[in-house]
Amino acid sequence: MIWLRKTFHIVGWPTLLLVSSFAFIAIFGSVISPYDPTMQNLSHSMQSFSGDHWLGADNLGRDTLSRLIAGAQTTLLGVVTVLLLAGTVGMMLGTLAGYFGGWLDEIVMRFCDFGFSVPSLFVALAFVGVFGPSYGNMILALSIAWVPIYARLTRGVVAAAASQAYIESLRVLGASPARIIFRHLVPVALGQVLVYASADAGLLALAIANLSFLGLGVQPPQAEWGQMLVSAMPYIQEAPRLVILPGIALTLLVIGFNLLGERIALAKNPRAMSRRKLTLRRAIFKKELEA
Amino acid sequence: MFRIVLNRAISAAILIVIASVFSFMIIAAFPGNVAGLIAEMRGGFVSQEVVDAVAEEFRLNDPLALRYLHWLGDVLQGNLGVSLRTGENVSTAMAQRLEPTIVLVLGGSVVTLLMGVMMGFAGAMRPNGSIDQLIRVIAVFNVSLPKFFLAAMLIYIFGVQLQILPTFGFRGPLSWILPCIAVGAVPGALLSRLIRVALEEAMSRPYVITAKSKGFGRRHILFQDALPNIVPVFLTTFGMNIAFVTQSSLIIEPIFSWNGIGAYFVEAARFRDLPVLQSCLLMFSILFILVNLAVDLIVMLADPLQRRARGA
Repeated sequence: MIWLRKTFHIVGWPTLLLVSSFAFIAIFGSVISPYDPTMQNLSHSMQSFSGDHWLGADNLGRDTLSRLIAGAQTTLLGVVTVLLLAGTVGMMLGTLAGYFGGWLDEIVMRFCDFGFSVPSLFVALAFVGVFGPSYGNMILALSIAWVPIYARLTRGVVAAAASQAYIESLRVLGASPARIIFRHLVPVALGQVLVYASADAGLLALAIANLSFLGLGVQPPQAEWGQMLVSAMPYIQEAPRLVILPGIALTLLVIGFNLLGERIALAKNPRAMSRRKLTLRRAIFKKELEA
Repeated sequence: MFRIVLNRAISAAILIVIASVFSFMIIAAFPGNVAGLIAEMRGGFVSQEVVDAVAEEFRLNDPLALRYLHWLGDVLQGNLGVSLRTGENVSTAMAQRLEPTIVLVLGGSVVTLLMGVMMGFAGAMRPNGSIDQLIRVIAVFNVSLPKFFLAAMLIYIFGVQLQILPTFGFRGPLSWILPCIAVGAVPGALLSRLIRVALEEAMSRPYVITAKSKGFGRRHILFQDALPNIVPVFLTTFGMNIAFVTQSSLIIEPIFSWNGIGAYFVEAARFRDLPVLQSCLLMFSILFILVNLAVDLIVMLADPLQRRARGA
């Protein structure tokens, strides 16, 4: 149980509680949700907080609590998928570019430069426009837009490691490039990528909600917080809770992710970095990578 | 010095070329039959002849490189093509929609600046005092706050409950207030944190000890000695904030029913209006690249250390 205590120590209980309760809701959502999130019951339309519907019901009489739970599933699944896809592809590109250098490096890094100079949401929006709006296409578009960050990050780590003596020695000993890359370079990069990914999760949750809010991601009747919020906007006067609840859920999740990322980054950087310094670092992270 | 400027300008030009290739490739990378889609969007009966005619019209059968050069030539002459959905000329449509976006970006920047500077200095006046703590909590909360949720709350409080501000449409300065706050509040909180951190770092430098030993008060030291030293950090972050604010226009413009370029982009994505999509991506990319270039150059001019470090 030592790892548990270690995690507990690094992350701190409030953050851990926040993030793990969202994870719990997402994993066991279909078991704990009181109703089917897409089931309509027009006789309960616009019902306020009650014993039947703890958090009320929307204009079509769908249970808000169940829809919030389903929204957690949609969002977290999306975040994890995008991080896996973008992280894997970005790490592949970055490792190849950093290890082999030359024209490959040049091409990959030029496209990363472009990815860095334009905010990811724009790139994602353009790709969603090309693929057509749907949940799967949004995930794909976000993954493409997020690749440059991971490619650039990995490339920096790998290029720095590749020039070190132990990699040189491996090459002299006759280790194949594949062995050097997978046994020695990727593990080094993976640590950095995971640290950055934990800080990135909050941003991604926001991006998913933003695209769904614009009607370009999750399509009704599937529940997602951004999409719930936008479809509740016409009823904001009579039932503001329909707007406020998904907004609060999303804000809490993003706060949890942000705190988690901050704590992990703090723990991974032994050179004492104060929490405030870290905020600064993260904000000028893009600039730093460019330098 | 001149050589650095030239180098930066050349790399910005290369980036713009990449941006144009990227924007062009979006149509080329389109999955499926582009000609068929365009023919469908135009309505009417879609026969093989119609599809062929469309392919001919959009030069879809030409080699990719030739199509790119053709498109680039058109763009350089200011011709961005025709919207598939409405049939209007994209360049004129964009020019018409420029005003709300400019108002939003400028207004949002003003809000960012006011909030960032005021909160940053208020916090730095008494580090770890109650005001500083409060501002820190607000900042952490704000960074995690979805923009559309903030906008919805502003609409609810000021439009629905108090009914003192218009929440719909681009109609005069009064209707600018809520969108600009919605756009500027989040980057403003971020900026305030950065100013606060940078000030604290500047306050631990030897020149501050000298000033203190001369008997100057904290306020005097903050404004006279620390402020000039955080200008480079401030400019860099403020440049990034322009990108944040512009990005927010995508979300805030549709909420407040502003007919800006951000809303145009979203609309194009919703209806798969390829020429508009491509033009918006290109224009926004060029804007960001130029802003980055300008910020880099200004920071270089403002920061003597950096000028020397780069060997000017």
